[in-house]
Amino acid sequence: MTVFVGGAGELFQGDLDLGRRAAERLAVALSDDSDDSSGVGAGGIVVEELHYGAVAVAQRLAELRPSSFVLVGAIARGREPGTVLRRAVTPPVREPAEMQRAVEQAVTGYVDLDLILDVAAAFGALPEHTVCVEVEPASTEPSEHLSDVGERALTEAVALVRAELAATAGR
Amino acid sequence: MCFKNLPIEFDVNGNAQLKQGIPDPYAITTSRPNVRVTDAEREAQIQRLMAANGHVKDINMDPVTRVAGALAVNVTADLENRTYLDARSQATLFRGYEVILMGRDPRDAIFVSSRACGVCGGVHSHCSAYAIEMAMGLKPPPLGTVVRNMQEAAEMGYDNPLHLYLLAGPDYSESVVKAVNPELWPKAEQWKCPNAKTHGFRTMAELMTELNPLTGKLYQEGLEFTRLSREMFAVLAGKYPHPQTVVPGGVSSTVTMQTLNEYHSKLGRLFDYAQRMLGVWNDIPDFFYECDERYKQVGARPVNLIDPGFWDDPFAYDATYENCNEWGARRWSTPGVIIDGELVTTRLTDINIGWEEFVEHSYYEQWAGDRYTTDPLGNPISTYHPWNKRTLPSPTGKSWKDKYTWACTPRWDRNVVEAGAYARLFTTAMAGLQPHNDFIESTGHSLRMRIPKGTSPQSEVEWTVPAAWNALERNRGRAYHYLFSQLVGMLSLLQAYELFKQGERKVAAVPPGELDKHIPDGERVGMGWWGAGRGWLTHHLVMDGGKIANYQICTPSTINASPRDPWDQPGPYEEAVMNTPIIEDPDPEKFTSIDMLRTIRSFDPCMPCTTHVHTGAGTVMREVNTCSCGAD
Repeated sequence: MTVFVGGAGELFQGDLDLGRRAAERLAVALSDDSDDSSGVGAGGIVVEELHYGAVAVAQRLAELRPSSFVLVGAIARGREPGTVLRRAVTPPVREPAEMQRAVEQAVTGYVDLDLILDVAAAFGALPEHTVCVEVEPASTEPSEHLSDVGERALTEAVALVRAELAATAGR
Repeated sequence: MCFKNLPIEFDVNGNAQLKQGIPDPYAITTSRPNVRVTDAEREAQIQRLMAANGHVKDINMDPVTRVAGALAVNVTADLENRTYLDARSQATLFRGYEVILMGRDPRDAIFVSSRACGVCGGVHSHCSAYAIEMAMGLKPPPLGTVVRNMQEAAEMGYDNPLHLYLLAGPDYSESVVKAVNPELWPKAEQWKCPNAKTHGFRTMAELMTELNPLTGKLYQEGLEFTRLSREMFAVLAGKYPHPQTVVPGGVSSTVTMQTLNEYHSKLGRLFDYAQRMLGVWNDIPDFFYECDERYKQVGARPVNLIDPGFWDDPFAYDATYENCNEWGARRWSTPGVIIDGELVTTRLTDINIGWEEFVEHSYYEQWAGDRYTTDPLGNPISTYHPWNKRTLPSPTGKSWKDKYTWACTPRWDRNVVEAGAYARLFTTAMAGLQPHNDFIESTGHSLRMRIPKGTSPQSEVEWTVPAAWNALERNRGRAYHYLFSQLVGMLSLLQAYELFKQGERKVAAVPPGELDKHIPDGERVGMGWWGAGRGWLTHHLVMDGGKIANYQICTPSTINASPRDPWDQPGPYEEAVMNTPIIEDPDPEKFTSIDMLRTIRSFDPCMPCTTHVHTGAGTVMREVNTCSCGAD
């Protein structure tokens, strides 16, 4: 039983880079548990940074066939900056033209949480248990650093992912 | 003598010089191309037609409304006479990498410029490394050059099927053809595919059905094979799309025999697929031509192509500008410029000194002053040359007569040239300079390619310089380029095995940790002549005091999406759209502008692109989504 944890970020775009940083922290935190070279650690947890493209992520999901997928990152939805939310993802139902548009965007370099979920759903690659931990960014201006609000939200998001993993293990 | 417009001549030794006695030789009013139609004449024609033709009169060219895109193409269509009277290409996104890079450590350019594109980040990294190593005087060891070639063959393997099946392919799919060209569908059901044995689809209708987005086998197979090529790249570079292993003077990858074997095992699986791809993209144009000869005019434009060449001879490339014509001629794809179907030069210095970028119709201020009047060899360069150009963004309102795009206007010898992966096929086929090898042979008018044995037996195919140049031929050419690039991957892999056998392991001129010692204090120039999946890619660098003093990136989509130049010559997209007939039902209620979209997409536009047509009965909006590297 594999649990796939992915962080998706937009490199150096302020708080939108949070997903990448979350993946880095989680990989370090969970690395002590790693038991083989396949990248699947103890408890069957795989942590990866997923900015490399939504189609490639869908293919990775199809390859791993995880029982659970936990996606973490920042996305602007107009909430209070720094808000951290966990939501269970129901595979989005889209018209074929919308799915094709999502794939087109994905293969041409766009990256965000919704796109990853849309494309993975379009290819039937989302596991039944998919959770998204998403953060409302405080700053989306180009920067190599997270804002103070983003830094606090990162800590909270990582804790939420770890709690999710603990709960998943107990399921 | 390759220059017809710029006042450049050559002495008996082949050195370029400005013609004597011409004051202000690069002034726009001094050296003018032969322009067929000025904008004033075009506008007058539209006004005349509007007065006489209600269909034109009713067309209201709406100002571009952004639809999550970074390029718009606005057209004036005469639906009664089934023609596009005018077209304007508008890049609506400012890229700004040149501004970001100013004052930074030149090595940063490898990583920063890579982010110009989410699709082809590897090519920018490498192009940047070429520019930096020329400025720093670092010659890569042969294996470093070979590994670069292998990576870039893999990147083409990712890029070409992605375009053919995910972006352009749907325009020829059952779902689209039935909706926008219903008259073709009964013919497609009857039309027997000449290459059925190769790709497995008995009729064109079957083939088109498998091009359907998401559900079609060809679409899905395209996705699967882009994955394989991505993995090939990652085997050598660690990750894709933005490698961390590109350095001035080579690469920093750890390459072992196992690495080469992994690459080999994946590459070997691509050749059967390449054959199927050729079958598909040979049959599609032939079907359309047979249905209606007018499809030969869709996306048509003169054969004016340019490419700086791609994939170096590891034993010839020395990273110097001084020897660039020698090592350039040894590239697996030959540098070249083709004007009106004639190959006018293959020399990199000619390509470089004939290059200019104008901003008359772009949201930039004209820079003042020439930093350089010559290249490092003493050949004259223009005020508008990238080593002189400065990126000075100046957003203003949109005006077709003044400024309307973030793309600048690159021209060679003041000609409108087109970039594309297929340009490599033309230049290599016509030049006959490619080093002798077991897989590719140039004949002067074609390329014969021998496909290694896969599941299918060894075979030979031939791409011939096409009689007509249009949207369908661009796609066909791209399919052949896929095979071409994978054969370069195979040639490079065999070179890597041979170098390994000889004990070569060094992949960089100096260890990355020692690069600091090699950064010069003085002023230096460098440039990367390289390629992307969509064609031409150059990076021009000026460094001074160990920092970047100027950096200019020119991508294929900057060239193809360029607006009017100072002499009213339309850019390639604009020209190709204006040459496209309206074949579909011109009823404004049904009009989809499908052939204009096929035209735009045939260039593989590299920016989020929105094309709008206002027919008077409603605005038709379509998006051509790609990456963002076409803007400046």
